[in-house]
Amino acid sequence: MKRLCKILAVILGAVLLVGALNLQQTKAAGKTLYIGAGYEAQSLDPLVAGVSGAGGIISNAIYGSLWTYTADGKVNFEVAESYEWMNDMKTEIVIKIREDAKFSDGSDITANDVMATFLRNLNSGMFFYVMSIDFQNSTIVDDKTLDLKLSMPFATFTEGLSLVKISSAADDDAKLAADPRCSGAYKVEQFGTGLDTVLVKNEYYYDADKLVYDQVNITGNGNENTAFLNFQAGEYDILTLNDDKNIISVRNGNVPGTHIQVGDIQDFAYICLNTTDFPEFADKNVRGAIAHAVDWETIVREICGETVSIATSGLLPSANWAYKDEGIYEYNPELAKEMLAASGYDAEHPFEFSISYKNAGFDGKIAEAMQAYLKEVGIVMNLSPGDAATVQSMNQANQLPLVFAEAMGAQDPGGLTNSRMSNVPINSAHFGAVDEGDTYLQDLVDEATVSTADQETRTAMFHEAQDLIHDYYYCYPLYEKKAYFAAADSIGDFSCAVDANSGFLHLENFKTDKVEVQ
Amino acid sequence: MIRYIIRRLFLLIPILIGTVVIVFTINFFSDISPARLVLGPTATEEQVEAKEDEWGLNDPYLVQLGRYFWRIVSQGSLGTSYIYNQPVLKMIMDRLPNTLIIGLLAATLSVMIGIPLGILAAIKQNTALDYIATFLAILCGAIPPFVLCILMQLVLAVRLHWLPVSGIRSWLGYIMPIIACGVMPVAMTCRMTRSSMLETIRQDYIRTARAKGLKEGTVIWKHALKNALIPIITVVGMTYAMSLCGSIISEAIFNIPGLGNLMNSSISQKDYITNLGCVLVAAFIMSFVTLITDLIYAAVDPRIKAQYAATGKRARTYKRKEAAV
Amino acid sequence: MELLQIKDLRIQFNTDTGIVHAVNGVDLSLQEGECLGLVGETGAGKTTTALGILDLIQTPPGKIVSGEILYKGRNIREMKPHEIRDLRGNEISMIFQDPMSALNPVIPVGHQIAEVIRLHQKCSKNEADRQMLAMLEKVRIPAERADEYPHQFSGGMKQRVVIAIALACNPKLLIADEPTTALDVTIQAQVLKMIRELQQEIHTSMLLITHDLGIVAQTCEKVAIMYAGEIVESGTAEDIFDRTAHPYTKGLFASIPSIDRKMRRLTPIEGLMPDPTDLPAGCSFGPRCPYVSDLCREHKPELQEIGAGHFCRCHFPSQKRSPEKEGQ
Repeated sequence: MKRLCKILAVILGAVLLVGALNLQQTKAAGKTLYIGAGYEAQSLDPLVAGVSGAGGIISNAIYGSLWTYTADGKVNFEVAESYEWMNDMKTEIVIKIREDAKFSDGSDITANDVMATFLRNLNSGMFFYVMSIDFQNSTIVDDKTLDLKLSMPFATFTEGLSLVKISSAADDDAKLAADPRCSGAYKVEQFGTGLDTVLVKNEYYYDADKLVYDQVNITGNGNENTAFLNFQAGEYDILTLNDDKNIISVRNGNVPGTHIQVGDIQDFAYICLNTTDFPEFADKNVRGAIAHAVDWETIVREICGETVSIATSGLLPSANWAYKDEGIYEYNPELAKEMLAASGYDAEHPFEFSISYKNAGFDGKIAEAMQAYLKEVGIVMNLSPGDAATVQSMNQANQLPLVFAEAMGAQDPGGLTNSRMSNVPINSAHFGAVDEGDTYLQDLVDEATVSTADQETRTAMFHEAQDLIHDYYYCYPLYEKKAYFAAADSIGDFSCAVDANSGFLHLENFKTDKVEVQ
Repeated sequence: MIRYIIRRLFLLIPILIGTVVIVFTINFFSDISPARLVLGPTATEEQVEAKEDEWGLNDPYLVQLGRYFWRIVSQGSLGTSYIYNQPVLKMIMDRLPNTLIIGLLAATLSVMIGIPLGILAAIKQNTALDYIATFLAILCGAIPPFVLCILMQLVLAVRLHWLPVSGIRSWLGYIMPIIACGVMPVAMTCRMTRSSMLETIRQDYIRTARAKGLKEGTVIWKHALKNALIPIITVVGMTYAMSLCGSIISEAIFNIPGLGNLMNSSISQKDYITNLGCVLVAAFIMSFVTLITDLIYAAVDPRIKAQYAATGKRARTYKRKEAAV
Repeated sequence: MELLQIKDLRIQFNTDTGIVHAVNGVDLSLQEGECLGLVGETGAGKTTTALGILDLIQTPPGKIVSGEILYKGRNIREMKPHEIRDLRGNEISMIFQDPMSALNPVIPVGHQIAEVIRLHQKCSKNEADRQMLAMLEKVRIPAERADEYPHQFSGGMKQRVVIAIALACNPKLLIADEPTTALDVTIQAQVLKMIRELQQEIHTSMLLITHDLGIVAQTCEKVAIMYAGEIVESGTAEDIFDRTAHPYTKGLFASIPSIDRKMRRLTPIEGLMPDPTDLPAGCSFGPRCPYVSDLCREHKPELQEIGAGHFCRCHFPSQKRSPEKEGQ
């Protein structure tokens, strides 16, 4: 027994000694940026890495798109140097790739790579913009020129292409996941389980000399609380989390030496109605009554606090188009009661329905507040909260009359030139008819989707559509969540331009002189 | 004895099969499809179906189950993760060493602390030392693990900067997870040691040992402890089994890329195949450790060793006699 | 000089229900080469006395309150712990009552014997093994069985191992606490014979604790009768058997069934031993004694010498007649 203890003690001592010789890694010299995020990146494949957490940040840094859009809607060419529509119908587009566009191993980025990327996206089913490409008839003119033909016009085709990350045709799935050729500003030096992801300057990047940071370290944390604690301990220069509460507390002064940056809109929350499967909601009076019975502004202010702003636009339920200052419905319980009476509902025969919702975040509290308001005007809403998975399946099975929904993306102040858009052909089923037998709204939206008219005309069409939706109470906008980033004071002031679609931190900003390291 | 070991090794197989079947069945009846999660909420039904077909998720129950086992036997592969597109076995093997290191060190430390503490409490029963030792042991057992983890993070990492908040970049990062995993077993080991020792030192042969003139230390460590070991080994075996499978809580909080973390994330991401692989590996580890524990029993107590050796041979002889009659 | 002399030994146990007076003033003496039989009922305090000699009493509940234990003139109670340990197993050995549990089940028997040899002789392992094998031969256990475990031996063999352990270092004093009680009669005879032979071979004195008067008659030169923690009669074997003085001793002899006479019923001693937490003020045996008087109830009798070396603790010792002639 004593011998055993001695042996164990010796082993322990040896392990500790060996460990002591590997001293804790000190922060790298030179200009290195340390970013902390929730959710570790599991793959470098742009289709798998996703848009959130560490994966999204890495993806944005190591891959370039053909072009991107700035917050105010201007085109910013990256891998491509130009595009040109070849006809008024906007069914043929020629894209020219930059002469000096190269991957991180020095090989040129060719039209073949771009085409291969489109095909890969098509097969994965992730980005539907590429679905409108007619691959049979599209051609590769030369190494740097693509001639794409579309099977039908698609209003926001170019905006959609801004999401597609260009990868090399020579990389297969496995290589893309672990060791890809990088088309973006940075390339991967270290990536693996349990390791920080270390990105270094891609020397073949066409703007490489403009990059401020030589190295970027990204650490994903499975647990958001841990990520926050790491930031507090000074491990990260920037912290981006899905949970804004922790980052707000940085603003409240809990962590000296840090400040928070507010990005553009990250999430857009609204309530939509299923009029197809629940015909009682096809009655405009009912929908209107709910809209006016609830004081949306107060609810959002009180429940969501300062992390959100009140939604200012109506929304097509299955599309994420932004915009328009329709504003939230006016709080008018009298009007609500009138509308109910007009449809024959009163105290003896109240309008009653049941909903299910995810009992996390704001949804639960908003639902309960709604219930109280609705009760005032004689509408009975029964609540059965559930977990996210159950609610999602019920929704997919069209079992819910009223759904709390969220859409991601930045607002488009310019109107419809950007990438916050539907990934599917509009699902008209969700609209219902504006009036029985009248498919005007449906047709309007369908037309606007493929319209090749100029921006102003298209915008007007969508406005009209959204006006109709507003007047017909097809959805109740709630709030828009801002994107927050916690940053250490020492890395200076930077504008937190958020990725146009994902709303997450886009490393593009750190390429330019805008970032000053103090 | 060899026969016993071989028999136990063969017994591993039905255990593993049973575990896989149970977990597979639970996952099978789940409504959430990983295909939908991977393709996103905007994917159409047809695309989801197509993906599911590609992964074989629409096949009948027995076909899927059979395919899973056949793949293990013929290719030695546990499948490919739906979410990450990497071979499950590789993902597990990448992460397993981290879990094993932490588990091994945590269990060993807890045993090295728990057993002496328990012996101390037993030989100084009902004195102040006993009360202090017992109090410490109960304290270790009573603290909820996640509270301990977070407290340590706040104090040791954020406030004092002695240790990193999370991750295992350097060896310092291992300290807090090891403490977190090792605390509860200290309690169990100490209590079990104490009660087992108390019983043992009342035995007659301890009196004989003293009557021989042996030093008290020799009596305790050589004569008493060896006899007290059986229930202690049970607890220690369980400790090792649980620690080596990875603590889901501490791996999540400290962001350790280990087996527990993979199991956790595979469940929430509906990555059923990875989940199944993790469970299989964990079941294997646990069964194996149990086997080792049983063998240690035999090494410590010759009566048990005789028992192992006797089973099988005796049973067969008996049956033969029965048949002859 | 006497090998062992116990003077007025008192041992108590502090329990929840009260203080147990286990041993209340025991006087014993033993010469070299002698065999003293300590006889008494269960609960008389015999084992406690024996344990007290070697300071093996569990100290939290038990305590040697007073008395002297002189071994070769030195008071064991004043010795330091390591000195007492040097005595144990070496000069004073003990054999316990229940062989089934006296051996450590997880250590081979040869090792357990060799252990005590190595400890006290301070010799090498090989030397210790050599002596151990010699010892095994003496107790007639085959040498091949030295590596086997206690559970592989029968009761009688286990007791022989215990004897081997006890006598391995040629002790001067052997305390045997009911060594044959747990064994059946035929084995009893064997074991006793063996103890006797070894004892004579090594010139060991023996303190034989037993409740069996027959064994005492066979084996011991001197006898002491113990009751309720006291010696009530002591002397040579002839003194006790032929010139029985104490009523208790008489009762003991009377209760032995006789082959010669026809008996319908046994004649036990009426009553039970007194509660050790609540001993009577007068003679401890008073409540059960057929000759009890008021004097007995009020005054505790002292140990009186009623013959040469024959002591009795009674107000009315009767030494003239033997119990058979008493007839009851």
